[in-house]
Amino acid sequence: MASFLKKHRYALISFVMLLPGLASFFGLFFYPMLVTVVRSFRPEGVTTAWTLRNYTDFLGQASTRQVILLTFFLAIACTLLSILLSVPLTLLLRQKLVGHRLFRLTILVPITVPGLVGALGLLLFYGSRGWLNLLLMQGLHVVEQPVKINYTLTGLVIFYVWHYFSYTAVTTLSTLEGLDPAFEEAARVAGASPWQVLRHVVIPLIMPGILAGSVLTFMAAFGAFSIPLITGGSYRPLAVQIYKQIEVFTPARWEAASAMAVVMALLQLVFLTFYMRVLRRPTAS
Amino acid sequence: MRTLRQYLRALLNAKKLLAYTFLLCFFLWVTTPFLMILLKSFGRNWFGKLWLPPEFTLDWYKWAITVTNIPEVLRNTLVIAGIAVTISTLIAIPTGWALGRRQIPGKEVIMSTILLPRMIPPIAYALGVAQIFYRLHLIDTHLGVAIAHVAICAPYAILVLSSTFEGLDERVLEAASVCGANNLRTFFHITLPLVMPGILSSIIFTFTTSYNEFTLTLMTYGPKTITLPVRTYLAVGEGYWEVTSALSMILIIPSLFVLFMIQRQVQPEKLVGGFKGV
Amino acid sequence: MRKSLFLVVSLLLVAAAVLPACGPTPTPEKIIVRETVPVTVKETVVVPVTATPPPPLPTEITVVDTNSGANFQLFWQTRIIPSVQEQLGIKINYVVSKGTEVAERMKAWEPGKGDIHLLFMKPDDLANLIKSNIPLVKLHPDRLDMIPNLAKCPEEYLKTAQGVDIQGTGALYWRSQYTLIYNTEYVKNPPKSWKEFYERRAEWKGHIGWMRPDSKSGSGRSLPYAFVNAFVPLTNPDGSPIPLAELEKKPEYQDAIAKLKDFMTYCKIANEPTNMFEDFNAGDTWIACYAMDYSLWSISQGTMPPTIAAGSLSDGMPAGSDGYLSIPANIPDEYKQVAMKVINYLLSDDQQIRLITEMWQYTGTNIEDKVPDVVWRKIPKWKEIEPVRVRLNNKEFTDWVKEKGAEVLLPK
Repeated sequence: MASFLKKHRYALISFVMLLPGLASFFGLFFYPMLVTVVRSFRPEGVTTAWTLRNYTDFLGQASTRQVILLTFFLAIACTLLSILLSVPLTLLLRQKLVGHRLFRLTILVPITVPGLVGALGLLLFYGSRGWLNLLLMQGLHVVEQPVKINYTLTGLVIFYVWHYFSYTAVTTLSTLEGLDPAFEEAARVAGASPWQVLRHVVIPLIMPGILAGSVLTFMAAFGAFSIPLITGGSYRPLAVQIYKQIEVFTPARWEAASAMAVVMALLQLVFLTFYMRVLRRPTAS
Repeated sequence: MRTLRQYLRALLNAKKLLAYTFLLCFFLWVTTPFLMILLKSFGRNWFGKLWLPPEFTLDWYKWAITVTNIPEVLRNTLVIAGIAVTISTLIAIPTGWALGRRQIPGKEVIMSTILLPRMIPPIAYALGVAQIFYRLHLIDTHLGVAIAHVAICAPYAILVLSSTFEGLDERVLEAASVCGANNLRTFFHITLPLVMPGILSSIIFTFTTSYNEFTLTLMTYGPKTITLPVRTYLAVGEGYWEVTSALSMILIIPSLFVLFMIQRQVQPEKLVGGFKGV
Repeated sequence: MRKSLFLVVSLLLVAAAVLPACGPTPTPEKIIVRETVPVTVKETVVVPVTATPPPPLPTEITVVDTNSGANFQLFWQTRIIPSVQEQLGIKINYVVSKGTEVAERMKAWEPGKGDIHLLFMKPDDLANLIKSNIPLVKLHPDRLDMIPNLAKCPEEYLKTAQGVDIQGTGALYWRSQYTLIYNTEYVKNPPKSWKEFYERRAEWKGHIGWMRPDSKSGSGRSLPYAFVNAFVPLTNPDGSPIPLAELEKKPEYQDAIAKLKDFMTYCKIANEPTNMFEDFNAGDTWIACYAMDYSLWSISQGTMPPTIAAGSLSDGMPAGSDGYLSIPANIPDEYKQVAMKVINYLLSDDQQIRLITEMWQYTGTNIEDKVPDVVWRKIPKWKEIEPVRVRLNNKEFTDWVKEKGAEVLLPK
């Protein structure tokens, strides 16, 4: 025994030290997830029998495909727009213009402030008498009637971007600042125009950072719950649909909700694995 | 020649102007919603399409304080965040150390496993957590809600700390052992102080995560453990928005403090958790 | 820099260590705003005389409210709770929650271990508790000795809620009533009946306020209920519900549902009442049907335009969320006693009159003749309301609206 301990001392210490992390993983994630999975195979209100009905019911519904499409659409649209916003933003911030600290701080606002407070502000700002519509109607006289943004798909995408672009922006910014200026210098000396430098040197170099940040944005947007719950109206992505199974129905439909949750988790995993493949390729080459 | 130079300078200025316009638009896009909340929380009789409310009042703040019992909501939120941060940090220090400094077979796999909760939508395991907690009578206890938060906070903390431990300068540690310090002494006197900044950022990030966590709280809270995000959710759905705005304005103050701390003390890119091991 | 880092870390650690320690202390600082209230009625308490004084009763109970809107949450905090404390010496720990959440919690209780002592619910929540077999204390007629004021409540309300036999488990605290509300700036000639409302829907296209069928607010169900009920009765003449399966076979019913769907395409759909009120304020919504008390009170507070007027539809104005007080059965007995004391106090004439004079909410007890006349200058008398009042007795229908309505009724 003693010799065993002595022999494997190193591995043993490592294992003991890993233990808290593994325990929290298994206790707080794996076990609950297992409960969700098991429950998703139970008939409604029963705790012994097994069934596939929750899945066939959910996947058989005509609306299911729309819900899944909506969830993906929102997440992907949000991710793409976040990239489009982050790249010019971070390129400007990198130049350290006067006041750049303020703008850096601004990037962090949406992830530090409680999301629901942000959602309330957005609903007020984009409402039919919010400042945006007042500006369009009374300031610029572009439109006669208020533009409807709240509770529309466009509005929802705007809200998503507002809430989740920070991940992409922060990661991109840090990659950009870690960039060796020598590369650009060399390109410029070789006679490349600023645009060419940007297009052929800077962007490819920061691509891994952009993509890594975008994965974080995508994950947040795909699993988004509080924002669509409040600002979605009739647009209900998967997370909200799941919660509604418990909130609206009496008694709560835990089994149906669990089945939907499992489907959602699988979809996200599959998509992320795929995304990661794509992401690793340019880094390897 | 001179006109060309002037033209170029004007172009440069125009470019700068464009840059500032863009940055300003961005700034307004992010912050105006809060200005709207601020105005709403002080305005009365604000009907029709007016830019500013015609009257200002403090009534909504009085109302918000009366109806929502702000000290208790704030206390709940902070107590829960405090417990969650403590547990997560205690979990993350040994695990982060092991992952950062030890040679472990299959480290990548272990890391990915631990980070898995961040890749699965929280609602999926929140359902399971709720069912388990109902059975264990952990629903509606500060400890229960905090433990649920650890599920999300701990991976963050482990990620941040393992990269901090990994980044330690080998030479310093060697110097310590050369000077005769044993392993434990080295750990407490050299390693721990060196990773303090990492621990600090991990604390700030887990705190922010727990403070803003909504999904897991919604599935595990009860009358005695209403936290700030849940309270805001209830208020947005049911109350007057004037009152909800007043409530939001009061409850946003701790977030601004956290924002200030992040900017002063740590690199924000760690907030989003790097991208290792996923 | 390093030094300040350590300072911050140690401060945070101390805070993290101290905060959990002060965690589960039982007495949170309750903020109770005490204001002197100009109520003309003096406070007299009707406390039933018990023969032998039992062991000291608890002086603090938890009340969970799943019914009140923002206006009544304020009323609870500023009026009810202070006066219960003053008159009965009972401290109320007041909590706002949701019906489904409370039900889930109560299911997990062991007998005698429950920690919610008094529930204030919508009829729908009460009916759901009964249907899920969650035990409640039978108050009527068993506990009339403890709650003599319960005798003043109309008996049919104690027997059924949402058409479900509630077996006397709920005490009726208030009766909420919907009225037609419209902005006189835009609507000069409001409709007099649902049929007329439907015929003239084009006049107010896009400006009729309507609620999502699956909203948290009961209005999501009561509006479709009253609408359909105006075209085809959803209950038999004796008030018993007609089964949904039977209704669905009737062509009149199918026609009414089609009309409702069509009507809703002319409406501005709101998620929750608060959104509808925003629309009213913005001038986007001109006319809607909503709880009288809430609307009147909003105008008085300056959260709704003063140009709002109220009207009525002759073929049925829906009942709002009547307020039921219930006591869970799985709580310690001594708490039941205290809860019953509180119920009796809340049903006392003074408290009920306060409800109608300050909040324009109809009383749960039949004491119309005791209400000061000044009230009737502001709102119609109960006996005028009663004939057009539609109680939502067909629970099958309301459940259908809640669960299927978003899919079937909402305009695409």
